[in-house]
Formats: sequence, structure tokens, C-alpha cells
Amino acid sequence: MKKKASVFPKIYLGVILALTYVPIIIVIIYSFNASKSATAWGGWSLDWYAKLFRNADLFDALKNSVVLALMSSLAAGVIGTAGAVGMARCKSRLAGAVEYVSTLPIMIPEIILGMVFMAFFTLLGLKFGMLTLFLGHTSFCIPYVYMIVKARLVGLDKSLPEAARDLGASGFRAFWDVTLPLIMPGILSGMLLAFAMSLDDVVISIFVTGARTVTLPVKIYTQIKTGITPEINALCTLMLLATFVLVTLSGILGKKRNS
Amino acid sequence: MDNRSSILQVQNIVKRFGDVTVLDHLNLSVDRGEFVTLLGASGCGKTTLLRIIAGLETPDEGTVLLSGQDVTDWAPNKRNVNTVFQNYALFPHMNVEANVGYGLRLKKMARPQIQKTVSEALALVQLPGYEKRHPQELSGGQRQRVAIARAIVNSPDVLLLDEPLGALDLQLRRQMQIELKRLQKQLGITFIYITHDQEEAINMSDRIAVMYGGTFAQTGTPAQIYDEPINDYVATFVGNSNIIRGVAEAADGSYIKASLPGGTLLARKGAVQAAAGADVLIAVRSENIDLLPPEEAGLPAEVREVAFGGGMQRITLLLQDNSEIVASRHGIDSGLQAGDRVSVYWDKDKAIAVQKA
Repeated sequence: MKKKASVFPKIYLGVILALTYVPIIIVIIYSFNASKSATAWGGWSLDWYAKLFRNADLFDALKNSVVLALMSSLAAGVIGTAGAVGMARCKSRLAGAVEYVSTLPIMIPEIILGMVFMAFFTLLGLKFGMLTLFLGHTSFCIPYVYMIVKARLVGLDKSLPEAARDLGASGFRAFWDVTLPLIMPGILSGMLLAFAMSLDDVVISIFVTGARTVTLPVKIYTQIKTGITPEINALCTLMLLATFVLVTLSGILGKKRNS
Repeated sequence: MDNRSSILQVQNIVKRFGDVTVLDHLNLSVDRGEFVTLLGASGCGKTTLLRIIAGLETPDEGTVLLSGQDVTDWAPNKRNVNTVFQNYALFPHMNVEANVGYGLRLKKMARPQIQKTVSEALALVQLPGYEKRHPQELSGGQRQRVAIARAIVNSPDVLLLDEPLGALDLQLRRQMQIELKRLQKQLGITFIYITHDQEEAINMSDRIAVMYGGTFAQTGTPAQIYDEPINDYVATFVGNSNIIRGVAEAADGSYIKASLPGGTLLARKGAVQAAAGADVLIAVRSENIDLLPPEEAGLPAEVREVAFGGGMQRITLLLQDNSEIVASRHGIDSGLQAGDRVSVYWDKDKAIAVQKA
């Protein structure tokens, strides 16, 4: 007896896709709108892209964002990997608790993290700017690297580093020659994800940035308050493209297996 | 224990995992060039013992001596011992040459010398010209050979092999058994070999240590283990023997007269010193059981089932105490069928009294 497919999953899928992708598609289409109005269609044009590339403020913000994302994803890559490798070796009963605590920041609402960072950095007397942004972003990026690298380590055959030890490698050499190359796709995948997370963060950045340093998402957010221009649409389209590329790369690296 | 010729000595090794004692005061002395097999069912602790010798696991008590030197607390990379892992553990991101040459690179051997030594080792395991292949491109048997080459290239004092043929099919297994044995003779390296396959152990070893419940049930040459099992575990695990319960009636030279269900038969005494009236276990292999017409002397039994497999007929018999034993016959037709009454008999040299494990 053939089971008749229910119509509800299809409706569900349609609604979800529409809710997510219709606004995105509209933004992309309107980024090519010749009219200045955000609602009226005035024909195809690349004017807004041209205007965007002449906007020095926006490019400063973009530069800040990219530098910040690079630095924090690198730092998170190192710390998250070290944490995952250390925890994989840890046999303490506290391991579960430590694991929980180190991945918790993913679940904590960003607004709370932002407030906490602001209060803490103020307490330390740090000057708000690139440094505080870097510290904040690194903190919330670490769990992503940690989780992906940990998963990779769990899947790694434990006899491989043991074989290296058995053949005469010190603990460090075995890690460097065998474990590290085999978990590298995981590290890169985690860092790419961290990079994407840092690049588009608004909430935490608003709390920890200084008056002079503006990141791109913060810049967009403040500009939108004075009205959406098609220029923003053009920028969003470009950022969507960049995010899509990064996430796809991260996925490809994550799937690459060492069978 | 003789210190001069023994290359490896394991003394009073105890290993616990939590509340479970995996190894319970083990002692073993291995001579230079000897092929010793640790034989046992899975979970008997044989892999743990191998890992302790390799230095990948630390014993809770006891010492490991290599060439007379106490290495118990030495790191694995300080011991001149190499392991062939059960799943081969070839480095997937290195080609065959880099895998086999890894130990030599760590020893800072010159590059041309490494290349030469690696290709010699590959020729030895009959994989010449495979230097540039990656482990993923090799079959199971080829990976096995690379793993062996990677270990022997370092000329270890002792080579540890953890069920190296476990993942291969039967035909390849037989071929590799012969090759490994040849390799061991040729190189003169001491082998400590783990298997749960009694046939493999008997075919290859100079000496077998049967492990059971974290101890050595019996250590001896394959002939000793096979012909003179010390207890019922060794008799059933190594020889697939039937164990029949009885009471000792009298000792008669090197034989014991045992009162068994429905009759009295003789068996070799073995290591058992059973006084008259003591419980005794008699081990007899299925192929050594004679089935006579019911009126002849022996143990009366009823045929339960006749099955065919592996070129043998397996005849399941029910003795008078309701215990089952299995007799086997070559060929397809033994002329017996379920319900037939027979008399079970054996030559007194073909049965042996064993202890309870």
C-alpha cells in the first residue's frame, strides 16, 4: 500500500522559505532600482553600487569590520582549538561542566553578553575601541571553533597519535605531525564560521565599540534609522554574497573527511 | 626466569579500570627471537597487556623489563618496541613512503638513506613501488603490509601485533600468517602476537599464553596447549573439546578411571591429581569420540541432532545426565539420525582430565 504524501509538510516548507527568502530577494532586486524611492520601481540601474563604492565612511567601516573579523577569528581559532584539544584529553569529572560553560555563550542572548562585556571593560578601565571590540568578538567566537574542533577530535581515531608516539614521536611531535593536520579542516571551518559571526555582529559591537570606531553592521544600523536608501540595499546584497561564500566554504571544509 | 636470553619480562602486572581488575598479577618472560601469542577471547585483557608493553598504558602495579632494563615508566617513544595496530592506524594524510619512513625521520636519518630503507622494507612486505600511494588507495591486505613495514623499518627489539589479521578474509589471513612467520624468521625479531583465533595461534607461535579473566590460564608450546590443556577453559577454547563431569574412581599409572554418566572410562591424568571420590572433568575432542552400537561398553547416549557443516557431520548427543556433547565425523553420511541410541567411547589416550577454570 502506497502512503499518500501529506500536503502539510509542503505548505510548511513553502511558508518557511517565503518568510526567509522573499525579503532577501526583494532587497537584492531593489539594490538595482533606478528610483530613489524604497518602494517605487524605476527600472534597472547599478547607480547605487557606484555610489556605494564612492562612500568613504562606509569603506572605513568595512575595513574595520574585516580587520576585526580577521583578528578575532584567528584568536578564537587558536584558543578554541587549544581548549578542544585540552578537553579531549581531560579525564576529570569536571570535564562535562567545563564543556557546558565554554559553549554556553552561544545560548546567552547577545544583548546580555554585550551589557556584561561593557560593564566588565569599564571596570577594567579599558579604552573602548578596536581593543574592546576584539576582546568581545573573540569571546563570542571561541565556542564556534571549540565545538567544531571538538567534534572533529571525537571522530579522530585515537590510535593515530598513539602510532606516532609508538614510532618515536614526543607528545608534541605526535600532535604536530598527526593530530593537527587531521583536525585542520575543522579548525578552518570553525574560524570561517567565527569570521562570518564577527563580520555581521551588531548587538555586542554597539555595546563595546568606542565613539570613533564603527564597524559596518553598526554603520548600517545607524544609517537605517535615517531611512533606508537603495545604497544600503546594494551593501546588503554584497554582504549576503560574502556570507554565502564564507558559509559554503566552511561547510565544504567541515565535510571534508579523512577516511 | 633467565635474564640473559629474555628480551622482555613482565612481572606482577596489575591493571584496574575503575573497579574492574583487567590484569591480575601477570608474569611473562619472552626470549630473544621468540614468537609468543597471547590468545584469548575479547575482553580478556590481552590488548591492555600489549599497550602496557608499548608504553601506551601504565600498569597500576608491576614492572616491565626490556633487555633487563626497567622501562615501566618510560614514554612509548623511548622504548625500542613497535606496534602493528589492530586497525593499522596508517596516517591518512601521508603517503606510503612518509608513513613507513616516519620513525626514521624522527631519528633524523638522512633523506636518501630513508628512501633506501623504506623501499627495502616495502620489498620485504611485497609491496615494492607503492611509495607514492595513499592509504585510502590501498586494499585491507596492502594496508596491513604497510603497517608491518612501518613497524619493522625501525628494527625494534620487540614487535607487538594486535590482531593484525583480524579484518582480513580467510584466504588472505592464511597467506599473511605464512608471510608473517617467514618475516619473523628472516628478521629474527621477537614477536608478541595477539589473536582470538586458536588455529592462527597454533600455526604461528613458538609459545602460546592463553589468557582468561586477566590471568594466564596456561602458557606453553602449541603442542602442550593442544594436547595437555590444564583446565576446561583452555580445553574448550583451544581444542573445542567436550567437557564431561564425573567422579574419580582410581588412578592407574598415568591414567585416571572416571565414573561418568552411565559408565566408567579412562582418560589421561594430565595435571590433575584427583583422589578417589573427587569431582573430575574429562575433556575430549569431538573428532576423538567413537560412536559404537548401544550394546557395547561406553556411555549410553541418544542422538539429538545431526548437522552438516565445514566438511564434517556434527552429531549432538544427549548423555544420561542430560548434558550434551558433540561428536564429529568426516564425510556427509554417518548413518545416524535423531533418536538413535549409541554408546559413547574413546581411546584412553584421546581424553584428558582437566581442572576447573
